[in-house]
Amino acid sequence: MSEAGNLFTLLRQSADPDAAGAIEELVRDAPDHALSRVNVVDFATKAGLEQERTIAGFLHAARLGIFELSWNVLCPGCGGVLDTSTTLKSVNRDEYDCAMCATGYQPTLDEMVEVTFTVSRRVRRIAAHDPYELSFAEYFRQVFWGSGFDVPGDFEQVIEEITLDAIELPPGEKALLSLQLPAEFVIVMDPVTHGTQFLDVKGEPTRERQNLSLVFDKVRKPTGTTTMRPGPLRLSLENRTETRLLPGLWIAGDRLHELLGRRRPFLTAKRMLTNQVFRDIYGTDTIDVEQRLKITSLTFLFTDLKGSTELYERVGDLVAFDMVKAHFRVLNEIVAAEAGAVVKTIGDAVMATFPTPNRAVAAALRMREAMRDLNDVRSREDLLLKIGIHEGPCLAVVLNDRQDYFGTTVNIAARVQGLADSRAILATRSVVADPQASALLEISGLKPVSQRRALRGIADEVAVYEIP
Amino acid sequence: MSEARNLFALLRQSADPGAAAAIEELVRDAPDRALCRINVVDFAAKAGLDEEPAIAAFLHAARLGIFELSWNVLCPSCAGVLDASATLRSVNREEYRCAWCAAGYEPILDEVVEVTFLVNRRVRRIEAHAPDELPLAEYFRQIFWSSAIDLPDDLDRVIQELTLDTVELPPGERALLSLQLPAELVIILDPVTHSTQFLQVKGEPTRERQNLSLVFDKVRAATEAIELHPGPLRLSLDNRTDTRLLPGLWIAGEKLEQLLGRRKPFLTAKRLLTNQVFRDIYGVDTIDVDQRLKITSLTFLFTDLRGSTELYERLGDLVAFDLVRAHFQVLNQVVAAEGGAVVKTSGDAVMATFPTPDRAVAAALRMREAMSGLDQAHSGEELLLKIGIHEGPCLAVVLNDRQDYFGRTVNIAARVQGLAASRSILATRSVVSHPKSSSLLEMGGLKPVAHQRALRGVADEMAVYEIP
Repeated sequence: MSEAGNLFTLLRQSADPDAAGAIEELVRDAPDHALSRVNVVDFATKAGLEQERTIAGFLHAARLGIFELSWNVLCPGCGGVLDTSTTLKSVNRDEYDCAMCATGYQPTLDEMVEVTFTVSRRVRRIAAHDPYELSFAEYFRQVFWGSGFDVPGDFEQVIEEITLDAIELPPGEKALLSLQLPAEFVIVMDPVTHGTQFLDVKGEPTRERQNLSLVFDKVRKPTGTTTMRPGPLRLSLENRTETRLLPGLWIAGDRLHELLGRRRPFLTAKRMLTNQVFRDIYGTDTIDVEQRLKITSLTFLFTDLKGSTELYERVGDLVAFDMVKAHFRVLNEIVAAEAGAVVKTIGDAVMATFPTPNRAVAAALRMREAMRDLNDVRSREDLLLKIGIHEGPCLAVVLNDRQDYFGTTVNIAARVQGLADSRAILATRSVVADPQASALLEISGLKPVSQRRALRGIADEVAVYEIP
Repeated sequence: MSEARNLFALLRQSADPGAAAAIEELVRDAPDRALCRINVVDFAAKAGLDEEPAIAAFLHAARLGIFELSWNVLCPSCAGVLDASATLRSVNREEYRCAWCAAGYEPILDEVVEVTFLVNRRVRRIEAHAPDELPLAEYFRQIFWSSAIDLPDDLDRVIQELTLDTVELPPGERALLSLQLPAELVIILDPVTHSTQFLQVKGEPTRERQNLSLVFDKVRAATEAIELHPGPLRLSLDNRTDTRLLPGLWIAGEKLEQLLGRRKPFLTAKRLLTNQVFRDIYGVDTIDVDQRLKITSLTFLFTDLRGSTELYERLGDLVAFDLVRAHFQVLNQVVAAEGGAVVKTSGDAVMATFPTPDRAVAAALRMREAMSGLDQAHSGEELLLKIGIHEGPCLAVVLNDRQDYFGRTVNIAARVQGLAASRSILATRSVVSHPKSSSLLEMGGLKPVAHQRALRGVADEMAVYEIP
């Protein structure tokens, strides 16, 4: 552990001390399964840590090689991992199919892609490093399900109750199962290949033996449904892959739905992209030039310095640049502190993203304050910000060597900023109507005033709220 | 040379074939002095190559390790190199002093900083790799002077005519020179330490021996001119450095002026910053976060897609993004072909820089043409560009991890673009009155029409020319 000891020393230099301490303790003392696919949001909550600092701590730890980052495409239906990769660049299919739920999903970054951390094998060897030796229940817990799945304490017992049978099938082998089919909807499923067959068991019970044979290979076939009658079944299972499989028969009843409904918050890909530490460490190397990834809801904040052109004219380029840079530094700090990231600067305008509207509103209020302080130091009203905020769907893309965003939402946010005058923060309805944002405004004693405004290039008028 | 051969095979893969072959021949066959401080602009002219592919090929060769890049601060008056460094980051002084010319200069990127290439010693060993062993004339040619001076082949003889005496002074040694001073301004100059002593020789000739003693050490001390009479001088020169020095007595007459006045075009730091291949290879790693480097004249071109907001609304984000991306690709190609570089994109706007106004005008005309081609390729979706061009002084800086530009000129260029209607190209007076751009417009049969326009935030009205 001396190499690991050095790594933790380095981690303490770059990360929040509490987060670094908690991560070191986790790696040293936690059971194996707690070090596979770590859900950082859940970890922060249970350790009583602030989420942003914990996320930053894990990112620094990943940079140092303590953890490996994994981007997992999740099935929103069952919470299973449909695809996993060390980089978001591999999330390149238009649709991902979940065989268990027999449904296809578009990979949206805020709902369907999670980011998890698994301890590096050089730092600590854990069972999940050899997934083909995990037990049936542990395979489901550590490999099959995403980190948003809240595994119950009596997990093994629950599985026992909702499966008719399950076997471990070594590579290349065949197995025969004899069992009694109840009058239920039964799912034959292997969590390794995701190969699935539905058995719709209904009608008159029979004493005649029914036969079914299933082959698992690397090619994922569409899920079929076979109608059967309650009674004896001779099920033949063949493993034509090179890995161990874990086929089982699951009863698709209330208990399964109850189990699959257990969810907890997790670290989404969206939240990662809009995190300043992530942008700083991984930069543009996140998305391929050809990728266009959908995000259902992202909050955009644009700022612009009022009268900066006059300012350059008055004080000259050099002095103006130093002032503008000081203002950028302040804005960067505020954005990072509110879980956001600066996407780019254009002249003296800033484009930033936030995971939720309330963080953007909080940042905007702090920015306004900070500019007042900067002006007080110079005792001139030189730096006045015009701020606009909008929330909505967008595409995450790479443009001009930079991870950027694209779409009508971005256009509207920029246009709303263009309507702002000094000191007023303008936001759209989706921002101020967000429950957390409106609670924040109420606490601050700020009442947004609505006005209908036409935005250039946007077909309909938009309700724009002025935050006084 | 087998390693070198591999390098040239790689070079042919990334660079223009003509330029790659010329570089290979240069490295293989040219005399040593042609491989030190290579002036790429001059090399291209003599080899009959286009400048842009030649610059790109040298940059690729430098990336492969065939050459080392050097950023040299020049004295604009004597063309001597005041400071040489492998990176522009070291150009961090407010002022550079030339002892020979007794003048100080701001390191302005378009006049005072050149970029030269030196063959790597692992590819070919040349004399300049051991500068302390170069003969005096070659030291001046290969080390003292920049690539901006056009030196005669018989430099040796010219120097003999221009100097009263020169001496090679090993480290720690002292030399005594006995000579006759003519009634001229004589400059004692050592090219290694860049130290000088001016001798104002005037008044009555004397037959009495005058004595002078000079100490060279590492500290460059500014000294006052010494007045002497024409007649005999006993000069003692003391080398207290640990390198060989080459002090000499130069007659500051017309012949010296003539020698120093022979100039040739060279590759300026500005031109490299605004080169697309340079940006692609060296990216942000050029300037430090705290640097603000002055450029006297840079041409800015801004474009924006007309009606793109409506376009997204009508086509949806995904289709609109593909169209906008296709348009970016076209603009990138046009900018690179005209010796410019794309600094950034924001939304569907592009900010690009060019070394001279005519290249920007040529690019604007080609962009307008290219958009018509794109329209046809995309089933008649009309893409209309609004283009604005302005030229002037600015600061080269780093903002938000990107090499960027700052200042009034940039603001005005953006404002001018904002005034443009679809398909119109707007440019300021400094752009259209540039001799090369006005002849370019004349050849195209295009007559710019002037309008007095007020630009927001800019104090005075400006003449803005519309290129039909």
